[in-house]
Amino acid sequence: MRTHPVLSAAFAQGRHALSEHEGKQLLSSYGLTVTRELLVDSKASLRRAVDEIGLPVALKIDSPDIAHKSDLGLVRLDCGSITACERAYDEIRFAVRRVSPPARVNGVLVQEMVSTGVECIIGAKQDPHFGPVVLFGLGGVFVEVMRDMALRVCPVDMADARAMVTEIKGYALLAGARGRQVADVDAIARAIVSLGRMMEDLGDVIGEVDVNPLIVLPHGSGAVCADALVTLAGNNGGVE
Amino acid sequence: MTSSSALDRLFHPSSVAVIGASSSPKKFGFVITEMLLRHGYQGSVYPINPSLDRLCGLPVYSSLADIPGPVDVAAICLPAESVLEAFSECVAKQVGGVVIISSGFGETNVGVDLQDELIRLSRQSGVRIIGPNCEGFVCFRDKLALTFSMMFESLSRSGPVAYVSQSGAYTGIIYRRVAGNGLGFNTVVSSGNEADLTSLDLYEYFATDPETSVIVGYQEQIKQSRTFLERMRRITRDKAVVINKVGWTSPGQKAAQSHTGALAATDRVIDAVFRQSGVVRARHVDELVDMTLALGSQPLLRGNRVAILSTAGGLAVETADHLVMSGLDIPALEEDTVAKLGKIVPYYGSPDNPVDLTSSVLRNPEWPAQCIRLAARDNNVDSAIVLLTAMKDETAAQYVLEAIRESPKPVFLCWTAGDVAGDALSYLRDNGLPVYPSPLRAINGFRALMSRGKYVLRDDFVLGQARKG
Repeated sequence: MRTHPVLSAAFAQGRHALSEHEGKQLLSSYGLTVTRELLVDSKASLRRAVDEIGLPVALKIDSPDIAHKSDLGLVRLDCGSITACERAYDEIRFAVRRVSPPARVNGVLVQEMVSTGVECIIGAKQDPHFGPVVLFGLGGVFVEVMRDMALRVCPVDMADARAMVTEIKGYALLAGARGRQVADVDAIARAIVSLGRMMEDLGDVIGEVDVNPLIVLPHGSGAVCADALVTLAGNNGGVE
Repeated sequence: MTSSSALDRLFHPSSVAVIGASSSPKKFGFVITEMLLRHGYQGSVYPINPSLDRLCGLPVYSSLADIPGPVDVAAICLPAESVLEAFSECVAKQVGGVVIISSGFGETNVGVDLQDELIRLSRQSGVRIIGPNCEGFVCFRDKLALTFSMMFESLSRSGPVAYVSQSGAYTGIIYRRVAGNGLGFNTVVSSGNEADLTSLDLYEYFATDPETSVIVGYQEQIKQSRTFLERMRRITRDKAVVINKVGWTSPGQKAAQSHTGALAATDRVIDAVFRQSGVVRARHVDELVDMTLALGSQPLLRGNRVAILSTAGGLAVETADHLVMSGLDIPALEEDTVAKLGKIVPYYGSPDNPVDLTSSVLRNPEWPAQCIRLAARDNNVDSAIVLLTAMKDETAAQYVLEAIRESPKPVFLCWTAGDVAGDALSYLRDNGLPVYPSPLRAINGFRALMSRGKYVLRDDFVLGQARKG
């Protein structure tokens, strides 16, 4: 059975999901571009991280037990000064103590802000009949409410992945509508193909992957995973 | 995977036994025997029933073992509780395949174990099963109707369609409506519970048949889902495939589940799998009929540009609207074509696309065919749709048939006046040219050709600029 260090560790601890940071390490190992980020657990390490990554940054709690961080007030975007970062750090660490049941906290993730680009969603899940399936859509209401998305069953190649991008109803937003620049469609396709390969390799141990948002920059500048939620298959290994 | 030769024996048998043959005209065991003889099957027919001596002029045997020669295929029409024993007799007789008509298996709660046991016996012995809980099959080349369905009272001549249906009734419906429109079938199978042979197994088998050019399916469930994508891709390399996979809404899924006793897969995923493997998807019975007619009778569509020719101006407009909505393009025709059409089309019609021929074009039996030829040869279009309200003249129909047959590009014929133009219409149907009763029905066919053309030609499929309102 193929696996990855972060997955083995998670299974060993009886966990259901990876933390955002672990999820990104996994995606990165399969060639997806993720935000530059560092995990900190003190004001001192916070200051060093901000120095290294450069302002502005986003601060987020990093915990395998918390999937919807912004709903719980555990995310601060656009921290533009060290003071703002320190205040955000305190607020987040305070707020997480109110989470019930108590969550395992690895620290606070200090992440580069990707401020331009189109927010998209890529994901993967296990279909009980056909195996791993990958998904693409635009962020916000497009996937969630309008159900405007493209699906493919693995294996997925670049031609399939490009077709997924162009076939969604909202494609015009990536093609330069409403004064936007043309988005890097090839980068989206590469991310989808890589995600598909990951699901084929690790389909026994991964239940679901949700990258929301995948921020797609203008043509030639790539696409970056700004968040990652990876859920494990069953409990402690094996497909249920 | 299925060995071709085992299925050759099943579908092209030299000898057929009917286990549970009956003298009672209402029973399956009677109807099947009678149908076998009625259509002129040339192989040996052996009715089996310990209580009968003769049936339909044939000697009846008490058991399979009593038959002197070999038996290639057996149909079993006994109550569920007697089927296992009968199947074991088939194994002992080294039958190639068995068609189990009987119900009371996996489609019911209590019959699941019985079905599992059947499967075990089949795997162990290599004797293949169609069904259980099915209506049998028809092999048109051999005039072999191993079915009780009265939808097969008359058999069309053998043709390019191979059809597998998971629903008994749906088998006959599609056969009648497609064959009735001039397109012939070579095999029709009612696959029932698919305990052994699945729709996919059967599609693969028919894909090896040179006479088959389109494979049609009605499915409520997809078995062997993990290998479906790969296996189907191999099939669609050579043959067009169109499937109506039903049960995409929750109530629909519940209905499908009780019918054949299986869980329905997520419909978006099915869409993806079909798209990725080149399967054309039909969503209802009219679409399945129209798409089958198109895929089975038209050449490959190489682009989305259509010429519309109509004797009724209003119909042409409606047709143009719906073609554009379906992703087709209505380009201007070449100057030369317009000029030549202008010599036939009166001043109150229109010689450019959409072409309003007006009904005056029906006054001369050569004119409709000439117009079709001109449009089909135009380099700005990849296909044509011809809307004739009522062309009564059989001679005109002959010329039209010739013109359409000559064209390397698909030409759809739409006939809106119904049976008013009886002889001309029958002439076309008898000569294997499908005729659609309305523009929308013809456009169902266009959509199927588009799907197939794009899959086969990929980036080489020509896309014109769609004109929007």
